[in-house]
Amino acid sequence: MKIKRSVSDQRKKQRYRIIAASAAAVILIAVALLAPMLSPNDPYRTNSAIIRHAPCAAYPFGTDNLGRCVLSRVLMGARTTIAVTFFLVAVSFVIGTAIGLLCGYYGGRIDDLLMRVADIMLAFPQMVIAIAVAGILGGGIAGAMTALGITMWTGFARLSRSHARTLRGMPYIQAALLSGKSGPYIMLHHILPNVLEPLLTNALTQIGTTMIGISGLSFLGLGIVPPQAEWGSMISESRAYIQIAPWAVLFPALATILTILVFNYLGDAVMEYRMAERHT
Amino acid sequence: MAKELLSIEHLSASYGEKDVLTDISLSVKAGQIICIVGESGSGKSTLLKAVHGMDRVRVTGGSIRAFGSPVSAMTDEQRRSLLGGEIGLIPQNPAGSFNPIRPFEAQLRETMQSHGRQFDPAETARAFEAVGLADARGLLRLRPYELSGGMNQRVAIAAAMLLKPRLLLCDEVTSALDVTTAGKVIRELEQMNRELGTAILMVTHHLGIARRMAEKIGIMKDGRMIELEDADWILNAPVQEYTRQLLRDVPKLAGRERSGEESAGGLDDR
Repeated sequence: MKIKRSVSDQRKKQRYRIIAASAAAVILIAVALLAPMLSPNDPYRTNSAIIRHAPCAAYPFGTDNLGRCVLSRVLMGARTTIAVTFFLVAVSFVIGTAIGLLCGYYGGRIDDLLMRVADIMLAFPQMVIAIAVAGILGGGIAGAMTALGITMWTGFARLSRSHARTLRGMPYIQAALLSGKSGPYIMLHHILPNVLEPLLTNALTQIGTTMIGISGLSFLGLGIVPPQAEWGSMISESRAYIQIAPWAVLFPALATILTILVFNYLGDAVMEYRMAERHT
Repeated sequence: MAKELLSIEHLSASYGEKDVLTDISLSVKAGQIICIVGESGSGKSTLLKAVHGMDRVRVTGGSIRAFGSPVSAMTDEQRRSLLGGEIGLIPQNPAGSFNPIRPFEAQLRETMQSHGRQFDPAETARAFEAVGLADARGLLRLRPYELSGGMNQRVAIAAAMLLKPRLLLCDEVTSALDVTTAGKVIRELEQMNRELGTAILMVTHHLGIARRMAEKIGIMKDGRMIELEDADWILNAPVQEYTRQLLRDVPKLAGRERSGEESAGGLDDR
């Protein structure tokens, strides 16, 4: 009885954690979407009269080296960083899942070939490949996304492949095959819905990593380039005068840390909940 | 003379390199009920899979003829037309029989349509009721993971009944059910056999079920059919020592040893 109660209390706690993290994530996304309306000033307007102005009522986060409102740029930066991250995770999710399902369901040569490619990608640290690819492609959003996406699909592919291989042997898949259903139909109607949950959990945990990647590349000048507001490039731009105007580095850095923390926490909470569910 | 629906001659089969069936011969005629009894790992379920084509059991010798045609030589299309309509299967593992996250209605509808039948909610409700499942409308909206193994098993049995096959392969159908429900399911299968003339080839480790239902009983051991005779013969005058041992091993309840004629599970009451 006691054990039962403690398990249910634990599940309740886990549920509250997910709700709290989801609420924080929704707030962040809402802020990103409403950034133009929430920004107190024009994030791109330079003003030589207020260069590196300390936080005040008109500029709550102060101004940067070109006299631009840091708060407005942080808000607009949320839009850029979150939108690019979500888009990149979504594209990697779709491509990786499709490859994983094909490999896991059909097996054979296509599986050998694509999984060896994935192995090669996984043999190097993600950021090293990303820096190399982004360096070759030059700066810009497209270059940064390609650089990170080139390795990111492998996680989704490996996960969906292993699940597809397990599910392929299930009697209901065998029955669907025997009743004449095609491979794509079985993958779409029977396998994909069953692997969606672990894949989505994985996608949640990837958001924080991707955000670090995007901001990291931008910080190195290989990602989103100024004047477009993006947290990594804002930190990079302002680090030279960190001693004179620390707020220009501090606030985009805090925004980055907070966002990554929220999405990582959400991913961990969902994963923990799933693990507990599997063991009850 | 009743028509022969299934004829297995000197069948040997393997899973990959491992031989699991050796020299099995068996014949099932229309309206007949045959039970195959044996311990776990004796090859009972594999025999059904070889007939049905599930799990890629490889036939290495002998032949299986279903409704006059050799099963191993059939194209996928021919096999498909045979399954469901002519041959039905109630699998051992109810959890694996259905896609766990797809509502029953979608799955039953798809199954019926795959065999050229229309999904009829009223008929489905009657089949559900027959296996002790009330509120068919509510159940059809549920997903298999929301039900217990026994409930899933009953839906699987109802689904097989809906297709009204001429030969029904039953793989340990009552293993996940409580005694009362098991009795109900057995009575329904008997009714199907009586009213529709459905032949049943049932694999079970429950001698009580075999005694109650079967016209013939086959005893399997280590992939071989060591004895296949009329039920009365097997239960009263078995030739093989292993069969005698099986009869002696029928569960002893309340400290009282029960004979082979009287077996456990509350399924003996005809």
